[in-house]
Amino acid sequence: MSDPILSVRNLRVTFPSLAGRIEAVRGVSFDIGNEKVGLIGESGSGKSLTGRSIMRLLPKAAHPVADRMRFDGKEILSLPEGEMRGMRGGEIAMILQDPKFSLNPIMSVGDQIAETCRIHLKLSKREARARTLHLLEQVHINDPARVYPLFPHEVSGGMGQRIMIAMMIVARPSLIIADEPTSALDVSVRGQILRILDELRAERPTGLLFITHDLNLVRRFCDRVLIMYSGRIVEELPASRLDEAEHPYTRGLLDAIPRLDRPRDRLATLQRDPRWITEEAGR
Amino acid sequence: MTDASQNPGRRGLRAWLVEEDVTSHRQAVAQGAYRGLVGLTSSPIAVIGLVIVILLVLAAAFAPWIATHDPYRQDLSRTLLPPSAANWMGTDDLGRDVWSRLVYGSRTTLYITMLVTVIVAPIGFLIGAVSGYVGGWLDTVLMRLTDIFLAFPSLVLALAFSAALGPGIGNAVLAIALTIWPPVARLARAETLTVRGSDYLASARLQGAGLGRVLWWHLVPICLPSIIVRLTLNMASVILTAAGLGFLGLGAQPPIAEWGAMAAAGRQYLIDAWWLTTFPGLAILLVSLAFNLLGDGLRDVLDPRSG
Amino acid sequence: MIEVEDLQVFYGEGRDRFHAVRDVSFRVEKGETYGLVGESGSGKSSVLNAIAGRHSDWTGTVRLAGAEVDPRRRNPADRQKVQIVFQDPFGAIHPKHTIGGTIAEPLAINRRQNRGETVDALLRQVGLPGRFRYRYPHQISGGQRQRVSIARALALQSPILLLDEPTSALDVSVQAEILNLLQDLRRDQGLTYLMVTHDIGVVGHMCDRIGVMKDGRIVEELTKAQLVRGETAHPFTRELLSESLLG
Repeated sequence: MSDPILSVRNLRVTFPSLAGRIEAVRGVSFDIGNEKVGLIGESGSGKSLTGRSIMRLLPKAAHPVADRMRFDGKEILSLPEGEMRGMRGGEIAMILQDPKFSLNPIMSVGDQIAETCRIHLKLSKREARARTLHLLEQVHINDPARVYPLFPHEVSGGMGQRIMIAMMIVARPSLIIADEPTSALDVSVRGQILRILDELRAERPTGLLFITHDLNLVRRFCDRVLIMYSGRIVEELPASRLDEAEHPYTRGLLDAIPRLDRPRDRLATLQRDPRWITEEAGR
Repeated sequence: MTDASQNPGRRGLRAWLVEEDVTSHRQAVAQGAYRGLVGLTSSPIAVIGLVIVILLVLAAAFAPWIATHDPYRQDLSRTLLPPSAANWMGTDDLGRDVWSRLVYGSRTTLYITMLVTVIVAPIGFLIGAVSGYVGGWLDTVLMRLTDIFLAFPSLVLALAFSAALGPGIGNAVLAIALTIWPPVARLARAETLTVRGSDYLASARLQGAGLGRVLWWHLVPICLPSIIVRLTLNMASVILTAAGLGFLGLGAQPPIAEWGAMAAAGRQYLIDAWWLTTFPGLAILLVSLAFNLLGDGLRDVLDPRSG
Repeated sequence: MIEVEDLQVFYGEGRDRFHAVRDVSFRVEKGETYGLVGESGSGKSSVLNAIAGRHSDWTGTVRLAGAEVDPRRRNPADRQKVQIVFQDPFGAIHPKHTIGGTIAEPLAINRRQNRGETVDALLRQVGLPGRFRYRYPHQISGGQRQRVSIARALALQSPILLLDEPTSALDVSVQAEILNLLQDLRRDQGLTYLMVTHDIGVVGHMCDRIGVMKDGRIVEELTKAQLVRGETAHPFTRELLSESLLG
């Protein structure tokens, strides 16, 4: 792989608690180049914290440290907050599960995109509006002029996600962190959103960190998969070879999915081995 | 948390309070209280408020031992004496010891705050929660009623009530209570609306729970934290309003020791005997401030969204 | 066990009145699991809410265990026939009650005796240790909460359980445990399930028969065998299948 877009070494995130400090992310290392990397894990595995560390959008109490967290030649964790703010929504973009929490509820969605255009591209009001309509078209919204004046609570989940993506592409990010972007969507809408992400990546090299718990989705959509368990990456493999996973945890997850092509009376349940928490990743 | 003797040893008390494996109802309750206490004491400002409020309670409880004189005994040969070793905060125009009256006055202050809480919390909760949960025309009627009470300036309303009911501390409290329930009702309604459509209420309804059960078992735990916070924050203004009514002669009647009335009585001697107004004034300021600080701290601890 | 004929469900009033479910009819036999599949807005949850008595603005006939229910008025006997397991394990349990209190609530409402022992037995049935009754919801995981939700639904020994996306908020490993638990309970207690979900995989695993819903109607009814073999007549079902199946 040529120079990675993002390089993370030994990322750790700790929280204070009544019973001492809790380490939620325990030494995570990975690189992202011009590719789609799936980060798989259960709730509590630390996958979202890992994604949020890259954006430096952690809860106040969290304390992240890393040997290296380099993006575009800069150490993210030691950047001043002002510079980081420019980076968020600039070179690094994030898509969350529920777009309603990321959009301003009292501003029409069109105005929000237009404002982003004016800030990032220094466009005039009229140019920004034209650009916004074009962007809405780009994310396959059929009648942009009708959607422009709507408020966030008036749009569906899939539409909201497209608006988030439209807003994101204004700044042409080279790294996109998508945290369960399609989990709340119907399968047909999900397909459309994924296709839009693909189109976006075709225009220029972009790294995509796709955080999800959906193994089937990652298998189809991503190039590479990282499997997280209890704050560590326990296995890493090409998405196409997910079925050949060796780690018992990954195997357990795969077996637990109910599948039409493999009907069973009882689903296999995961027998958790305490050694998974302590042992180092195989590769 | 006090019955450490029944718990596995003194050393294990903290472990007992934080361990995840809860084995009895008592432990679950104690753990909740402990988490609250830890949260509250992690904010120094809230601790200051808490300490002052505890001191107030202690002063009220042990007034006869803390006071150096009988607060009601007049001694016309020793009027308007400045603070000294014998009278720490001087004497008033009837020769009564200001410090002792201040100490006994804490009882009046506490009486006011407790009575207001006991009256306002149930009324405010009931009106707000019923209004929010039942909805429809009942909601409209109850909320318009609340609006009418809200529309009056509270001191004026309290004045009118206590003038109508006749002077006296009990009536003053009643008048104050009548003016401060509307914000509490609004709050209870808002909290109720956020959980009205929740699955656990739907489940309770499907199992046949009636209005009384929903109110008491489901909505009280949801609304109570914010009502407590709101009332604690309101206490300062309650104490000030009570003092104001006392100042105007509509609150506590002589010779009862009440801080507002004491400050008012000292007004005519402001130039010659500054201690008459200053000390009761400081006491009102301190306790109002303490309730505000405590309320802020409680808000952080009891916020239902953090539970 | 469940008979639905010609069900129409409405929301809203006057000009905003919205016809959410149109002419829906189906039957579920005792001990069977029937799945309603569809996208959001297809009306599948509206059907469930109408049967549960959570929503009352509907017409048509709904018979539970042989007796017809009135949309407006539920009597206690109706209530004891059917209970819901909800989708969101966080919203379905009162945050300020202990687990024991939550499970005991239906028993208290219906004045049952020996609540303490019943709660213990229910916890055992759903595979939770008895001491969990003293915990609060924030002290247990999502899967454990869903077990609590199931225990509460079982408390009145209702023969019918309505499952509203019971595992869509859970991780796959936990989903497998909950689905297995539901299967075991159905077999051991002879329960009848009506399950609403958007996950074809879950439906194929759990359900004996499936109704595919689109725009408020059941467009196709399939048996499990037909679904597994992909024998569908309706293009919408095929689309659902192709999007859900492995690429």
